[in-house]
Amino acid sequence: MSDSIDLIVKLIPLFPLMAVIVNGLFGHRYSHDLAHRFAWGSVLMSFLCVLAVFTETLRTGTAREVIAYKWIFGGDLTINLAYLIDPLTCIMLLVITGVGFLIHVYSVGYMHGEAGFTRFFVYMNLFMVSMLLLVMGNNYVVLFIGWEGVGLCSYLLIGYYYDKVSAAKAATKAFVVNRIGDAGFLLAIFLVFVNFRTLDYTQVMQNAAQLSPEMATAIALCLLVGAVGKSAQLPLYTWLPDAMEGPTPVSALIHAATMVTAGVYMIVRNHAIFDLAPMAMTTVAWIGGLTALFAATIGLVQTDIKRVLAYSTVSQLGYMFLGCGLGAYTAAVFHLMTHAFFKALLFLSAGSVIHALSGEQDIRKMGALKSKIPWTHTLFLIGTIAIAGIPPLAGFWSKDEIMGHAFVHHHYLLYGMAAVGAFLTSFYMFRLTYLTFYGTSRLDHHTAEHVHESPMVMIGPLVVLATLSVIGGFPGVPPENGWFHHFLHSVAGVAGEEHATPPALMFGLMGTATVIALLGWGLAHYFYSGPSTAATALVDRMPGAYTTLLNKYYVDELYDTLFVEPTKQLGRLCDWFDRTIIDGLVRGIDRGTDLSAAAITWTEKHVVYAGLNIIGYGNHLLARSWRRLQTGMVHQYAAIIVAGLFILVHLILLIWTGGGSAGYSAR
Amino acid sequence: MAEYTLLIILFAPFLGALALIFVSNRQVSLVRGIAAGSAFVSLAASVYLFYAYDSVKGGYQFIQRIEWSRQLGISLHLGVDGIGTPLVLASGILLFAGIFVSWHIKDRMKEFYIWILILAAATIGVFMSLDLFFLYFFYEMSVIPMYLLLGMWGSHTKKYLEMTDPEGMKQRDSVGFIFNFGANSKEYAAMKLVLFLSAFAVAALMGILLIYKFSGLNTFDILILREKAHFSGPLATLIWLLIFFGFASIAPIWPLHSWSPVGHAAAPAATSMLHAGVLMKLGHFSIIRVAFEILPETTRELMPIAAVLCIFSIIYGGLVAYYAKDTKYVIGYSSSSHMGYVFLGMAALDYISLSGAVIYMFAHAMATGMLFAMAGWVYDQTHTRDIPSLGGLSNRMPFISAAFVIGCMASIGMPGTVNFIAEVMIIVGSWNKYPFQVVVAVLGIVLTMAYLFKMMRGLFYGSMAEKYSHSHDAVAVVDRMPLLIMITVSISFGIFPGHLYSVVRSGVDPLIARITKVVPVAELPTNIPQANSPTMPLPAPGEAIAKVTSR
Repeated sequence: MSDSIDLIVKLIPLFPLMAVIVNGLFGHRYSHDLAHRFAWGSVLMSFLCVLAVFTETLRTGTAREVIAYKWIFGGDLTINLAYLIDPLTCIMLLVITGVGFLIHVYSVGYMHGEAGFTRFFVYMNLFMVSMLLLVMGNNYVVLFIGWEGVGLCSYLLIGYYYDKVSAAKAATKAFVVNRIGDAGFLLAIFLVFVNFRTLDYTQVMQNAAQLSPEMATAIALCLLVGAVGKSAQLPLYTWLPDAMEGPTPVSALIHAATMVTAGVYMIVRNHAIFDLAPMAMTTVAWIGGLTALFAATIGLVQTDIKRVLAYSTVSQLGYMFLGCGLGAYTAAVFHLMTHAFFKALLFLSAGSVIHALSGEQDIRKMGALKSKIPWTHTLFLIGTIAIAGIPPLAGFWSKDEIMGHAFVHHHYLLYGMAAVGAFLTSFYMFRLTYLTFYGTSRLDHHTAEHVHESPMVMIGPLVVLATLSVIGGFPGVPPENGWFHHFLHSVAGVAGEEHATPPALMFGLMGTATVIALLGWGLAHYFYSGPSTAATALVDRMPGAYTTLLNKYYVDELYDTLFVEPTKQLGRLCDWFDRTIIDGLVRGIDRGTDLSAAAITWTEKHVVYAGLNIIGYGNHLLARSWRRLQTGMVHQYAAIIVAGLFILVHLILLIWTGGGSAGYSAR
Repeated sequence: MAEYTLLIILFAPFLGALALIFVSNRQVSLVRGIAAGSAFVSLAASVYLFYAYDSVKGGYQFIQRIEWSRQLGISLHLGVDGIGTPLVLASGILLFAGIFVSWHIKDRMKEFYIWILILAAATIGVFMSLDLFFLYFFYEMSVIPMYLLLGMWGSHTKKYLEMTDPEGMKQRDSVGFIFNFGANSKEYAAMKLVLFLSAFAVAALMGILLIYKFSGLNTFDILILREKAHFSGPLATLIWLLIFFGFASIAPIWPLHSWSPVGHAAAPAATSMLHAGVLMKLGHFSIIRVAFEILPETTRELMPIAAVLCIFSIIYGGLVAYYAKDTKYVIGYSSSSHMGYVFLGMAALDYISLSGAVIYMFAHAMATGMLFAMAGWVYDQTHTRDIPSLGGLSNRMPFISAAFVIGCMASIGMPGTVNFIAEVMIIVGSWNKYPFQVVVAVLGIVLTMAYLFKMMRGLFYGSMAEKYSHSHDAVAVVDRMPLLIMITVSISFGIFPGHLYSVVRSGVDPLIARITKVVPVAELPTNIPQANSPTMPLPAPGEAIAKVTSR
């Protein structure tokens, strides 16, 4: 039994890998229909395997280590491709393969008729492989392989429309910013290695307590840099909104549900190290809290439907970081899961809107779509209610738990930021809903004629995701004591977390959260549900604030002036140094040789004309051979160099080995 | 038969070149056939060598010794260890790939192939020489074909072409033409390369002759010298510095790098491949073979020089590459930046880091070979290397652009390529000794990624200029094969590095043991305390893997 489960574990990433190989090598030979069946079929197979592994983990309740093959091995450096299956991995696997499968199916409809259909699915499957490796790995190297792999796929998929300059720029930006985070992550891995002499999680976590607090803080902060880059937190969040240049299913899968949560996963996975470093934990919490609020404010005024969702993703990831920073790892993973459901739902519904409007993404050119695409409308509304945190939908339970944790542990400032963030979230999400589906139609004529509901292949996955967004919170009910918490306790549980919150306080907090969410809805309703001028009036009263928000606090511009331009200038300086100083030296020596040769020639000609006539003639010959070099008659010259070298070396050696007497003639 | 492996690898290209002399340039397929055939023989033998090398036994294997001058103590003494073996393989692969990359060369194909074969054979000769005289001989011999390849089949930079208007032509006969007017011409590049390398080779030659003279052993044989020769004091320092800087100029270490990007830019694709892929490694290899083997104590004292200079190489090269607008300049500077990583791995004098450095040389040969081959393809199709004027080629060249992504991935050390393993090993191994350098090196990876993807974007994304609409993708087997070979090698060693790792370790371990006088943990019979045993305090850096022997 155990062996067969091991085999199944090994199969999980292999199915999508096979699809990558088959579609990648032979995809152009057969029809799109076959290509997409391989693609989603492989993910479905992985999902079934995950279900089997999940059931087994549920039954035994223990972690399982599987070695796929030995990769680098030597006396002092051993790295295996090994998997670790524990409850945390199981949750991640379920989300990745489950949501991933639904998005693959949706993509069949969404990408229909695109050039490069097969290429899209190859990248998507490659992404699945990398993401699976990322969460399944039993050591930092496998984690890093997955980590880089998802970054690569993200790059390829953001730049999917390669003839769009903005897409190419966004793709490069995403990869470079991620790489900055990766540099921190790499350093963390090296620190782990030099301290533990191993990179296996189990050994590192067992021995983590031996670390000095300073070292633990250093490792935790380096890990945090990596997590911040991947999960788009302050200050490295700028790539995620731009990443919306990719096709919508990509935004849903990579930039909402799975890849961007890798940072959260990584922190939870390493929480033994973070627990030793209170300073790092505080940093995590504050980065999370600030990002949650900061991104929400930008989301208030954006006009691109996908960008609003992107900022909301940044903000929701902030909540997860906040949870991690407060030690509420289970709550963070819980929010990760529910967020995957409703954010995938929102992105895909947005995709359905975009699909219906022939590519239009600007909400100023939408409105009154409710009656035209009713299915999409209902589904989008469910997603909005879920993210806004209105009970009993999924988002409420997980977000409330993180906020409650902040309050109960007396982090009132962080709680306040999270609460304001929650209010803003509710507001901008309902603003988005109202502007898209209600009010008056602002569509142009041409688009309006072609509005159509999406096909079943797209609506079907959305219905499943909507169901999950509704019921997805119940595994975590009651808060801090649900099935979800018991399941994850062995991995993400922290000593001392058990003390129960008094019921009165708990219900009070839940009530407050609900009121906050409803207030946000109410305000959005007042501003945007009908032909109200309140919103424009507000903008007119605070034009400065509005422009700042609209320009995203000018952070991109700031980074350009602070980092990109100086790098360019420094490069220019080095280039100048190379050309002028180093080249100048070389050429100076050249010219010096030239001049001295000329001077000698002159002396020869005019001073010792008669006596050294022969040398002058030799010089002349030399000059001729130089000219010949330019005309391509070079064989002889090369031969002369080689021969000359030989003779020279011979002569030197002859002289040095005893002035001739010990040379050839003597023996 | 097996004992002649090295001779086959070395002389197959020479014989090919010799045979080509007697063939007419009009017999195109015969010329190609001879070139490809001799390269294939060499490659096949080097693959055999790589897998037949016994990494358990270690040491120098496949030794061939042909007496040349007993009075002077010179013999053609060939043999490979775990360091030379992968580099011979890399040379074999790049030569074979290079033959196919230059398949469509129009101008004097026969001569081109002759020089390429001699270049590669000379390079291979250095990797297997156990005699200082022949090491130097092959080293110098590899420089000369570069001059001809650049000067005859190279290409000018954009600036030069702009200057070659009728007005500029008048200056052709003026004094100092090459040095003033032709600063961007291929002739200048060729001249600079040869002058630079020859000048520094003389320094290396002086070092070698000093070793010969003052060892008092009347031999150039490395194996004898390393056992019996002892140098100390200022003489050892002088010799070491001459050897180090003499050979480091080809590596190229900052600030002796300036010949290299210009040379790359001017060179035809196959030459750039061999140049960046293996010729530059001659520097590192010769330092390891001569300075590390014969002067271990001095190496331990003076190698920090490399640790300082490598930082400049990494960052400086990266920054210029970020600024450069010529594809080959970008790749050329990226090569000189990446060679800084090899120096870092060498400078740390650690088992893992030096192994990493050797694997990095192999890995970089593949990655940079791919990039140069593709830059060459793009140049052949568009006749420009100016990145701003290119763009959108993805549409016309799907295969090349896909391969380019893989080349960039390999170059930045993406997991799954052999470069990743090398990079990790260098950085892990150097951490204890040079943490600052490691941090800079890791940041250098970010920089690498920034300029490579900037170039990627400039070439393949965005909209395409109308004039490039006639450009072609690599479709034919001969065009795709070189790239596919290098990609396959890079990825398969990335996934299955086992044999490569153990071969390299078998060469590195005794060397480092000699230099640091400690032996790696794998060779110790008894158990030493493990870092993760709960009762032990964490060991100080370095202690966990090495233990001082009583020597």
